[in-house]
Amino acid sequence: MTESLVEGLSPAGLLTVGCGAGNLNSMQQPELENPRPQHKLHYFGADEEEYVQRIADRRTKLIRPLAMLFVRRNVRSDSLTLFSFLLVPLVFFPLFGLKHYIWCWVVLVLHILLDGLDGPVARLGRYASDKGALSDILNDITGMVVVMLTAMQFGFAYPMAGGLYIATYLYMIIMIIARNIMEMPFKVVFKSKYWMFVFLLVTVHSGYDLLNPFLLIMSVYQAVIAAVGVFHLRRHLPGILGAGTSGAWPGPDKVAGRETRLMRRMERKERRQVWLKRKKT
Amino acid sequence: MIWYWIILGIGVATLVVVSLFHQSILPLERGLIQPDWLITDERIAEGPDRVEVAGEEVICTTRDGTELSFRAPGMRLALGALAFVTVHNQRLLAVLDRGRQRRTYLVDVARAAQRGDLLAGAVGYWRHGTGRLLSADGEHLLEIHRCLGRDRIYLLDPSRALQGHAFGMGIERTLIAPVMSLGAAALRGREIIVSTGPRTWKTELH
Repeated sequence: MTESLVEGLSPAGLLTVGCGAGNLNSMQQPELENPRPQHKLHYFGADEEEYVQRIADRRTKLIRPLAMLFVRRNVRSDSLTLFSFLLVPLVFFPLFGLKHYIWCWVVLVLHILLDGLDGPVARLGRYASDKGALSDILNDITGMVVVMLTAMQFGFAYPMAGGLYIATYLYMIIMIIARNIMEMPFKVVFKSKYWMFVFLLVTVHSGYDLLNPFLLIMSVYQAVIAAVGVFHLRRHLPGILGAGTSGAWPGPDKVAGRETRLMRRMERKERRQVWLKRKKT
Repeated sequence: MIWYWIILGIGVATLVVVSLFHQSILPLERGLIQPDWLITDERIAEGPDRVEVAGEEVICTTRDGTELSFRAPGMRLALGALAFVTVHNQRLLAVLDRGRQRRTYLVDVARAAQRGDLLAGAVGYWRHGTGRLLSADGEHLLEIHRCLGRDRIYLLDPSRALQGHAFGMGIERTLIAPVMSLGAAALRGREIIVSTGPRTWKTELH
């Protein structure tokens, strides 16, 4: 077995072992920067995606020492996701019921930290995949749903407001993922999960009911996003059994019209850029 | 109120189990395959190097017939947990220690024998976690791990594992073992042979 079975494994990056050196600490740092694989399984808008990737890279660099601790101990990123997943229903919920609110927030912060840590661990350990991305999405959604149900159970959110919020959030996430898979992502989408946690914290400790108005406002916003997603998806999906029925796949005239509009928009954009450059000079 | 305490208890217990046995529950994998294992009559023969373990004493007989012996204090070594591997043209003894440290050491046997201690000849290590068995051929190493459901067979690039100090960093391919409780393994080129003792299977990597 002389040839390497790993794609892209460069002998130059490998460590020279031995040569009289017996020092265990003399090992070099591993080459960890790998080209980022393109995943479709996420729930960010098109404009957000680049920003989120930039943030993810920065976050990976920032928490690299912590992430490497897990990588060096052979901890799989899925284990972190599982741990984070179990924390909310099995620890946060009962602690909330027992009114140990401070510990609740500690557990919630740990859940968020682990949720943020699994990505860097996967990237540094070279295990990043769509399977992990799916687990991450499930963990994210479960966290939101359980916290919301907890708030409803203990009277901090109206059942109707909470139910609406959960339902519209899920519809929105489904639409975002579906559109990303169809390669027609939303431009920007605001996701309110962490803000919901903050509003719950404020409501619990201040006694002012800020959570319910927030839930209702966000439910309306999420419903609109989901509805836009449905209409756009329907426009691009084929008709009965994939047949090119009129009004299903866009007809040639529709396509030509859309392309003309796109061309005009591009020209306008270019003209504007030229005009801005001239204005500057 | 009691129900919250019960859920909390179950939660904490589950989290402790996940933390302690995460490598068995969610084993690491890269390029995971379930190969077609063929039952074979072949026996896993010893390679050109012989390694014997007698308590804390490890005796190696190299290709040229030289016998080297050294001590491995505080280590839990098994006969199937030693294999010679070539890393950057240097032949090193891979030693899988199943003691508390759970490390696989790469040892320069000549230096270890000179100083009489296995760790004195170690040029590097990685954490193996649930590793049980080793086998090597050329520059590649097999580590067999005990996992929930089925054991995993890892084809490792030792130099990468050395850099990251974790076997996970060196995984090239992951194979699902034919059964649990394998007792022996051999790597011959692209062929992998594993055995429980009475039964032996082989497969070829593509």
